[in-house]
Amino acid sequence: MTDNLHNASETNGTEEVKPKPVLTRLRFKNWRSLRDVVIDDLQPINVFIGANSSGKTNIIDALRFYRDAQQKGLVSAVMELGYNKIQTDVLENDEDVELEFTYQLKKFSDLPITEITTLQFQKRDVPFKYGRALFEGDVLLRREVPRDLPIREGIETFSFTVTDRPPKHHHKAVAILNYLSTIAQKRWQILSENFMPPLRLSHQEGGDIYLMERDAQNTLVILNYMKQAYPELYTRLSEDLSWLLNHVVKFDVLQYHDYPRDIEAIIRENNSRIAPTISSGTARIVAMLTAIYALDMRQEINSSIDNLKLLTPEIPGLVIIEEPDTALNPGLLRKFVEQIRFYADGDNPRQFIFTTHNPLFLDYFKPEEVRVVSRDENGYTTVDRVPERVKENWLDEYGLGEVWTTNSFGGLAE
Amino acid sequence: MSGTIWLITEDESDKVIVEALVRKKGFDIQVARLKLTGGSGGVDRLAHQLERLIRDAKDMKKPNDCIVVLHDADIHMQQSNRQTYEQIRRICKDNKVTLILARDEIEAWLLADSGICKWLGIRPRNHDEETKPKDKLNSLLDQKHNMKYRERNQEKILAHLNGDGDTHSPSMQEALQHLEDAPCTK
Repeated sequence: MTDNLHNASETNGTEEVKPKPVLTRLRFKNWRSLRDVVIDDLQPINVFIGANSSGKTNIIDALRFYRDAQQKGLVSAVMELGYNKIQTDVLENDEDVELEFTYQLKKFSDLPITEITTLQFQKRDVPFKYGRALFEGDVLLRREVPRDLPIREGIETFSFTVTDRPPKHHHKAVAILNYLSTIAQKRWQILSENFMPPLRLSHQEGGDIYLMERDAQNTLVILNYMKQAYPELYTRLSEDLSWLLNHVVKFDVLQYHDYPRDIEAIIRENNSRIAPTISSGTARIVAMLTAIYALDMRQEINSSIDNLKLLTPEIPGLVIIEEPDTALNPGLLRKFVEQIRFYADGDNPRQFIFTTHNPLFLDYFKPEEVRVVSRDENGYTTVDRVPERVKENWLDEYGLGEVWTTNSFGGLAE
Repeated sequence: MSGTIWLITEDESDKVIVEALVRKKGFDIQVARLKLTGGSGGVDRLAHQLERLIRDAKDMKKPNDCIVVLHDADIHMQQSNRQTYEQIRRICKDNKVTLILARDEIEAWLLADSGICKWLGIRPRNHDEETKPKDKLNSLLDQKHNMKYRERNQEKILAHLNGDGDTHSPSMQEALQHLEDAPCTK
């Protein structure tokens, strides 16, 4: 096992190899409408398209649930979603809900690392069972068996019984599980579809200074901290915003002299005046860029593992945004995607997952980055790639989004 | 086992009419529509994109499915514009795909239907050779039911369909014959 957990970019002699996507595969079993869905070959940028209620949010919620379970504890995460709203409704008592995440973590192994979380809910009774397993390739490193957990607000009984723990894998398994947990807790930025940051905060309002809340309410808190602690990042963010939005000469977060603990976002326009208002689209872009740039701030954390006490920008980050194109002018979409590619292609491993309904937005993505989310005849969600023929058949003349509107590869509302 | 008609049309409303007709005729089939890029309309766009759409449909279809191209023949259009229609016909022939033509507009089939006509207070007859049957249908709907011929009203209108328009409309008769011969209805 490599000791230096901060050195995530792989090097091969003198030639630097681009980091591969860290999260490479997802599998959801009996999670809401996802009866058994595999999403493999994840890219640095991934876009889920589909009709309303096709199951896109269920995919995002599974990721959020996993992160929340690591952050706040499993019981809190279950309570937040509602235990009766997690599993596919036709399940019998003995069927598990499974969330399976596969990673490429060169620091630990050349083989894929897979963590499987299992949940089992009882129909009539509230207790549920929880377990997890960790694999390196096909080799089981550790299995923790289901154990009854009472669902009651505030109760966290995270003790479990480890059944399969091959001694030689013990330390490696613990290190990997800690690493995965830390990444999910601290490096997964998730914005829900209706996120909208406030543009002024009073001093009573606070929030995390690294991790974006799902509705982006703490955007200014993060920005204010970034301005003070990481001014170079803050400047780059403002420059990116100016590039995206022609009218923005400078973006800034100001503290008031009279109320120094109150902060407000302002935009200085071409005429050097301060814009009287900031549109919702601009505000959403600010929140999205803030979530991305927050991953570049170094963060000290409480960890029992020495080399995880400081999170640095080189540690992989995942940015999940539902409908990032909402309230954006169609003309801005191309630049937005180009800006995302700039982040995804950067030195630090960053991965993006988006959902959208917008064919104009879809036009700027490659077919391999797109997954089509639909419902089958039984009402279960399916997730498919864009067929290879679409590339051959259409893309010489039409954009991917345009082709999507023909219903040639599904995911379209009838 | 029921099949699927992969229906390539200019307009969404055409699919809804075909769906209602095949149900009334007792065909146990699904109708899936392949659309033109950029929304509805435009026979030129249909001709331009037809081969690609047929290729997609062929890729998606199962053995007992069939591909049907349906469009308004716009018989009253100037002869100089007929080459587009000829192009569509040729593409369908080359690809061995069923082509169904409504003589002017598919709404002529609705005006030949006894159920719809009764509801509209007219006698069913052949409207295949008339210009703009859609306008006539719209006008009758307005007079009799204070209703416009819009997509959102189609369900209410088609609720009166008896599915017997083929007794008066030769183009509908021909279309149904094509469907009866197609593998998806077997």
